Amino acid sequence: MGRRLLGSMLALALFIVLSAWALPGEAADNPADFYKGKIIKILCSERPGGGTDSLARIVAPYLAKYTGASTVAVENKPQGTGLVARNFIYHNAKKDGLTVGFYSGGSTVYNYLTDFPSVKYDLMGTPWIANFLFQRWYCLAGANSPYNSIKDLKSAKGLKFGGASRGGTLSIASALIMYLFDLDGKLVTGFKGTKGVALAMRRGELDGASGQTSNVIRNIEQGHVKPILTLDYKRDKAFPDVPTVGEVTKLTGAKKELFDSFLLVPDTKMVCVPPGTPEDRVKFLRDAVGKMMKDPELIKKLKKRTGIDVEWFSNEETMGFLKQALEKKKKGVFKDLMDIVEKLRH
Amino acid sequence: MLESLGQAFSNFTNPVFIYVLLGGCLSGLLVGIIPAIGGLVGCTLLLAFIYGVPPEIGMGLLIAFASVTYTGGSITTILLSIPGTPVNAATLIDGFPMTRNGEGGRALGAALTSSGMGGIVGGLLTILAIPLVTPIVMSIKTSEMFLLVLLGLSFLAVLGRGSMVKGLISGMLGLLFSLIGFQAATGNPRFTFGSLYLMDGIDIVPVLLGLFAISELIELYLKGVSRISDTAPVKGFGQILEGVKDVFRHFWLWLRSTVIGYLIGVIPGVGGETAIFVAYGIAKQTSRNRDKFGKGCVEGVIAPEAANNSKESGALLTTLVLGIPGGALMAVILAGLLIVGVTPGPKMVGENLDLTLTLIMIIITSNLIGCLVALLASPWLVKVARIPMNALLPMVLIAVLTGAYVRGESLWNFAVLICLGILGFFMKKFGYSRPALALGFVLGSLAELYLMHAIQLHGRLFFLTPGSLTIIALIIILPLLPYIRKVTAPLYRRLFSKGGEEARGEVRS
Repeated sequence: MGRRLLGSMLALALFIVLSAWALPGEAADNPADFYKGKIIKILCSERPGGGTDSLARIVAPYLAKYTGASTVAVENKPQGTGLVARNFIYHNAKKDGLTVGFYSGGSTVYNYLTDFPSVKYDLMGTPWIANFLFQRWYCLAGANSPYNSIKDLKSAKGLKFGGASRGGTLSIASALIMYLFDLDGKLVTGFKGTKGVALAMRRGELDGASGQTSNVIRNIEQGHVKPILTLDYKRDKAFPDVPTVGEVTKLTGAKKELFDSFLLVPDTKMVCVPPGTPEDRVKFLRDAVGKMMKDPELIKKLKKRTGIDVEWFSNEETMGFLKQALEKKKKGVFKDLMDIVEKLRH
Repeated sequence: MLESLGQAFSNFTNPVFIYVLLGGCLSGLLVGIIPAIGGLVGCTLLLAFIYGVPPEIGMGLLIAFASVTYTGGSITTILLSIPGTPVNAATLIDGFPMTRNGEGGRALGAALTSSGMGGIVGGLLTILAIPLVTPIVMSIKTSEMFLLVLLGLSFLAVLGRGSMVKGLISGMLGLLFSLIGFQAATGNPRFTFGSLYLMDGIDIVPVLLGLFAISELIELYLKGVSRISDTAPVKGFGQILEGVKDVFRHFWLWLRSTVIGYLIGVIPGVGGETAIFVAYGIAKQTSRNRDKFGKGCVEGVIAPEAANNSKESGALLTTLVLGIPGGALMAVILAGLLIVGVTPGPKMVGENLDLTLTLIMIIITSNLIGCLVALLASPWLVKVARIPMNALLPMVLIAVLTGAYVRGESLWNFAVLICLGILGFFMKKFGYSRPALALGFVLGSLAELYLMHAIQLHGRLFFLTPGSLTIIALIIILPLLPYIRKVTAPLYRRLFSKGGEEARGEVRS
């Protein structure tokens, strides 16, 4: 009985070893063969239901289509305002190219540039595979508020502008507007993202805030806000009637440097794999994503979801703007930006 | 409106729609029962299945699922002291003691009927509230939101079974725990010691599982209890029907709790936990059986259960009409809407009124189905209380450990689970209130955020508005209600008896 059991166990062990040896996968030379039939996991740095999460879910089936993966599953790791996901991908995720990070570009870059506590990833050391959906920032006022232009805001006293987390782009952009136009008032942070800010504006509790294109489109539809200024030097196709910063004022000196630095970091969605992922798989993923972003069906879906034409940055462009932003960081520009946020909050 | 209502009804003649509705409802119930998954995770997983599906089918699945998960959660809360979500925590205060007293069937009957009916009435209220939701939500300012959360917190002292001071100490401990992590208003990390895990604050699920489930397991193990309840459950539906009847015996309590839950659910950001604890607190303060609360009083089960399902209908309406989710579960529903190509907003009550009505009718139907299925299964479910501990303990422990781990997949959750389990055990042993700690923990950070916002947005005298003053009056009066009643009761009795004599005199003449 004992000998028979031992024999069966040995046979089973041999079968397992042989099966593992015979299985294709890790040993595949060709990345296309490697990804075929595999499961890719997208690790999203935002809670389910948020803007970044819903875009990750739209993109997931198309990533499967262009990589040959059987499934692309979305998993959320929103802890620490996305820092946990970003640090995890950088240090702990398997470097086999089957785990992909999907982040909100603004907070990913700004958290790094402003030396936010516990940032343990390196922007330049991360293999980015996609950077898309560039959105401009706007100065917003409540839909029913008396403010229709920057001039109106400049003549008002005791304004209240809204922001989300202290180091987030929403707070930074709101503070920047107040600083650029010497608006009299304070920055109130801690709202739950653009939705929380929009609701407070609709209630008349906040006088203004910032917001990106897709959020502005949605919040206008819902009757919460109105855009009064484009934070750029050229007008946006989405809101051709909204004037730009360059049209309403001529920035000089420190203000110009800060504003130009702000524009250096486009608000996008960024996708990456862990550093150390085999180069051929990184290249394969970049090519697959490149093809995916030309898929008319996906473009249509993204446009429907966000209301804007999807703009796409190549890896070279991404690395280019990151390098420029890092140069500015060395000069202390982003520290100045955070100092403005802090000053306006008190 | 009538045309849209007709269109909404016609969806219920589509067999695919019916299958999806039933599937969503039954799976939601099942997932709610399993503490390891929970409604939020379940709903998020379902998002993958609704791509390219017609809106009424895709959203039918999600909303049917979401509508009944709390109903399922009540079952494990009552029978095993495992609250899967903070929303189920208030039910536990009286639900589990009822199971230990051998009244698990009655508690289940009352909980399921109350939550099912609460969900149905919540759905009906939603249809009536469609034109009112925007003015209601827009009139509630941050100052009133802070005071509503404060109203929830004002019940800290009354959640204790005996000593008010011990209830307050427990609540304050919960408030202290809630301070860990990024401060929402300023973004400053507090008490994190550089740990990424602590930056987002301690997760509520391991806290609740430790505080209630682990501490009960420790106690049962140390006492050498052979079963959760030594009283054999009444066979058949007898005890369960008693629970169903209890809801009708306390009809006004149920109705009041349903409306409280619904109104608080409509306001985004106040939190479902506020709704259930306010409903529970008011039930206790206005009850004649006040002293029985916390020891296994059926009114303590009816009130939070009525509020927990009705608040979801309120939250759905705000999500649909204003595009602002009231909580995490509603955020997933919002994502679902966007996936099926529906943009929430005022158009939902204009161009998409038929879809809005369909979704509301799904809530009503799901609650009905969920309640009936769970009630029918109850005679078998209550037998859990009679399973020998040596068989039940490992199963419950696995479910609790898995439930704690899936939240954020962090091993630190186990540390929180064990620490809070030990703390919960000693709190129970020395008469400190675990529900008060949970309430302080759940509402602490909300109270802090809204207080800071109220001061920053409306100044230090933010509370001088009619709405705020009304809530302040409630905060003052409700804890004093039993004492006011004690003073006024003899007066009422005298007046009543005098009136009675006069009336009798008139009849005689």
